Amino acid sequence: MISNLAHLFSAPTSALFLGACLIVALLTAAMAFGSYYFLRQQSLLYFGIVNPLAFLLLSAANEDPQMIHDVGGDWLLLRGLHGLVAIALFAYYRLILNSFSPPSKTALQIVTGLAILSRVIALITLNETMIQLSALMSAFFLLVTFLHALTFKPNMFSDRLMQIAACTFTGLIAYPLVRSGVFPPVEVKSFMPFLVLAVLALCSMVWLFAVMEMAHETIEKTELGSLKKMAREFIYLRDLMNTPLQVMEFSTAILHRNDSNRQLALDQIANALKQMRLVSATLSRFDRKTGLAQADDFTQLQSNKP
Amino acid sequence: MSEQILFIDDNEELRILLPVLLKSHLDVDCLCLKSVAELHAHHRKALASRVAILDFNLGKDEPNGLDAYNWLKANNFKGKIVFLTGHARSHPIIADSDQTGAEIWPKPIRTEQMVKKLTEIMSA
Repeated sequence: MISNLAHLFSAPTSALFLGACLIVALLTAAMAFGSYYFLRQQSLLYFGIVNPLAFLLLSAANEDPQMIHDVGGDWLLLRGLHGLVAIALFAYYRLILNSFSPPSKTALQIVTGLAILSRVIALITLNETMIQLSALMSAFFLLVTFLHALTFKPNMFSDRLMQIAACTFTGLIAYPLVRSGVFPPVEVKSFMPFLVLAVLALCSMVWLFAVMEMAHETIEKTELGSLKKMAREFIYLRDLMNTPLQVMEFSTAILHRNDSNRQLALDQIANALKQMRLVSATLSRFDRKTGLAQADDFTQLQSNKP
Repeated sequence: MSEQILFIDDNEELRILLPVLLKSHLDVDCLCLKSVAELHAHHRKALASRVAILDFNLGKDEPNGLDAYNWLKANNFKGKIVFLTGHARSHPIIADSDQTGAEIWPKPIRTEQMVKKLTEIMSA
């Protein structure tokens, strides 16, 4: 028996297919890490981890899904692969949590814990039954993540795309089911490697679109956020100016009406002016933010004069 | 004679100017208070007023104009209540006050406009 990777490389058409899947997987992972650097979305980080890991593990899996990974009898390497499965399970759990924020995490936490625990036991013992059991737990895990993704109510288009990608990813549930021995592998054996890699590549592409859409939405949100912040600053400043303006309004009215209160009105105007200077000082910090010289503003004002 | 206009604002200048202005323009007395705590302390005079002009923001972490409004309503204030505020209409407190049905005067309000409105209220 040979690994999926070796099997696919055995024919030119398969090699082309594998190459295309590999490019998609690597490109998506690179995009996910790159986008995480700018957007700081945890889901991008975990997707960047899960995607190449899933590709690596599925490629290294045996052509016969009921056989364990074909690593030429190297037990250390085999343990390493099972360890990577455990890491991939945890990363996918984090990915689901960050992408879909499920209201109740208990079922997901339990099934993730069991899937990782059984995988670790399989890693230590390398017992065939234990490996099959851990594969069954992985299938359960994927089923629960599928339910979380399916019941998620997306607000943004990028969320919808991620939901589709996560549900597509669950197509891989067939693979651990076959490996666990629950599902008879005879009929599906010949096209199983193609199927799992195609599902993975498809899910990666959908996720790639989701990442691009998310970047677009984040830029739009940031621009809107900046505009709102600026509007709030202006409203705050206007609120600060309203009271001294009201003081000046009343003082002027008193001065027009009654000379006996002249000093009182003038004192209040002086106080209002103090407040206006504070507003002016607050406004001056915008000078530094805009990077414009005062002369530029003045020139602009002059040019706007009729 | 009791004060005919109740004015609650945390700004001292306005509390000094408004009584002078109202006395000279309308010949009415004004009870000026700076907080809801003062409103409680002067409840008898406050509740006897014919018009209450309330500012919204009465200081950081202090009960606001809406609290004063609710207190007046709870204590059977019979007069007209208006809010004088410079806050934007989108402010959550202003949005709340819209539900009370009370009139909102923008700050700064022109003196002639305020005097006209008060004359209408007082003569009603």
